[in-house]
Amino acid sequence: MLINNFMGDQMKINNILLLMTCGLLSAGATANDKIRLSGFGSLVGGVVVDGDGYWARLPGGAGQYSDGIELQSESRLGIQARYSATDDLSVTGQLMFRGVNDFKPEMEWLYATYNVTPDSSLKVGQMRLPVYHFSDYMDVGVAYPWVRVPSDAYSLAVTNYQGISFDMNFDFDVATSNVRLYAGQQNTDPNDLITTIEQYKTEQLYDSNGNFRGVRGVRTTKEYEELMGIVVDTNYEAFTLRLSYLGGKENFTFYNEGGYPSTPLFGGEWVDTQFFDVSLQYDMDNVLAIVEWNEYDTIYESWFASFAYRMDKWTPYIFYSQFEGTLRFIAPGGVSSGFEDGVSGSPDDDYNSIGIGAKYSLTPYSALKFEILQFNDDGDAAVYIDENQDGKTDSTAFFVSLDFAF
Amino acid sequence: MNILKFVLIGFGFISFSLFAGNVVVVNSQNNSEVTTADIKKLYLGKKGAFSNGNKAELATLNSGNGVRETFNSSVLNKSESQYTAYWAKMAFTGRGVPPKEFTSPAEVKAFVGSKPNAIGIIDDSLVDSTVKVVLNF
Repeated sequence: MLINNFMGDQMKINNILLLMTCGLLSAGATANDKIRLSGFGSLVGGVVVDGDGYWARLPGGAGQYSDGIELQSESRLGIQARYSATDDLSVTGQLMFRGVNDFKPEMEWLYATYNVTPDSSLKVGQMRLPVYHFSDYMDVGVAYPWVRVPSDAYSLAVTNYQGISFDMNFDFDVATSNVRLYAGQQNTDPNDLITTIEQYKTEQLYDSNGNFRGVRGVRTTKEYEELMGIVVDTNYEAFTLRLSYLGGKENFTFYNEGGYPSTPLFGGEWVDTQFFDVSLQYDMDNVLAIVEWNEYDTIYESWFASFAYRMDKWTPYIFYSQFEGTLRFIAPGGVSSGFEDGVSGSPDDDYNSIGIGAKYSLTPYSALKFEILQFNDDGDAAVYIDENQDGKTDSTAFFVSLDFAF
Repeated sequence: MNILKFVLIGFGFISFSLFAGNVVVVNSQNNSEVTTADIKKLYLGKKGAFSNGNKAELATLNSGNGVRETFNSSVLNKSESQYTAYWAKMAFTGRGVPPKEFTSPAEVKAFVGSKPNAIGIIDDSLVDSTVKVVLNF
């Protein structure tokens, strides 16, 4: 059985390699034809230096580091194919192999683009929800300096949506703007990010000696409908100001183990939702500086600031990121201390991170990155593994990544 | 007087050698006004058309080519890594298609000379009647 499994995995890996090789060969052969193949990937390794573990709280529950040297949780490979049916009509598909899904391929995006004019286009299909500055390319590690986009400020539980998007470029002579209007919906069942957050917050299990032995099998779902958003991205010389608004309604449902899908424990109501995001970037010569702030109406506020300095092949950087949730149910000392008044209590989720690292460009299409990150948990609820069950999950972790694109 | 002449010739020679070399060209039939700012916007996908409203077809050279390196650093203000990262981001997000890459400036010249809406970067020794210079760099 073990041997069979091993051989099965080996075959899977061989298939992936075969696919990649075909991809590379045909990319070379058809670069100027109707099909354009490209791809990107990141191999991310991390080790916890201090604390019970570190979780970057990425979509799908990715970015969990607890034992030894973790190489799978955030590693990923994306392959993108673009088929141009005519000069103005194309179809784009992106297949992602994510470590958090055991590298099982999933269709991330699939959309058709119609160029209405040289400066406006209409897209229909499944696409990335463009709420954040880095939303569209947060999987493409070579395109930014950090090991990952500072994740305290990137906590939205939905990353893709199905619908339409209309893009327009405006040229104001000294400045240019890209305006995107979009609308659509998405059903996340289960919602892996929220489920994992809830599990570590209230469902950690310990043996009789007090050792962490896992989390209870709850399930959460989130449905999003009538999503309507706008992004205005304006570039003036070295400055880029990006404003983003998303409105709609959502339905969050929490199920205890065995309760899905018939008996929800709570939730199941549609509520109006709004999300705002603002970022200002300065990118000139050696300097890259960015500040991004966002608010998920009635749920949280988060932001990050970063400064990176390019020196030939090395780009050292520093960032600070912070997340502050509005929920106030869990008592100080963690869930083992009980619950407090939801209005006057202290915040459940309140944490920040400081990261210092460097990107080393191996070639224009590949880079090595190193980062040390200190995570400070000031909230009452546990964010990740909490061995002493006090709700504090501070940690320090070290990461190395190899990012590439082709 | 002679000294002045000498200085002027010398200055002329220096400026010649500073600006000789590389040019941005469009098809000779393209009558659009193309400024340096336009070139920058076109090559970074911030606008897609010439002032006559026609969609621009962008041509550049393969990574490692000196003309490309000079163009990216002096006109686009981006190092090779920044340029690739920028276009990786634009392409993977469906916001644009990167400039077509050619192996030699001669191929770029042939492409621009044969396509009414093309724009490309070449060295100026290749300029002939099929193309029109819009920028020296």
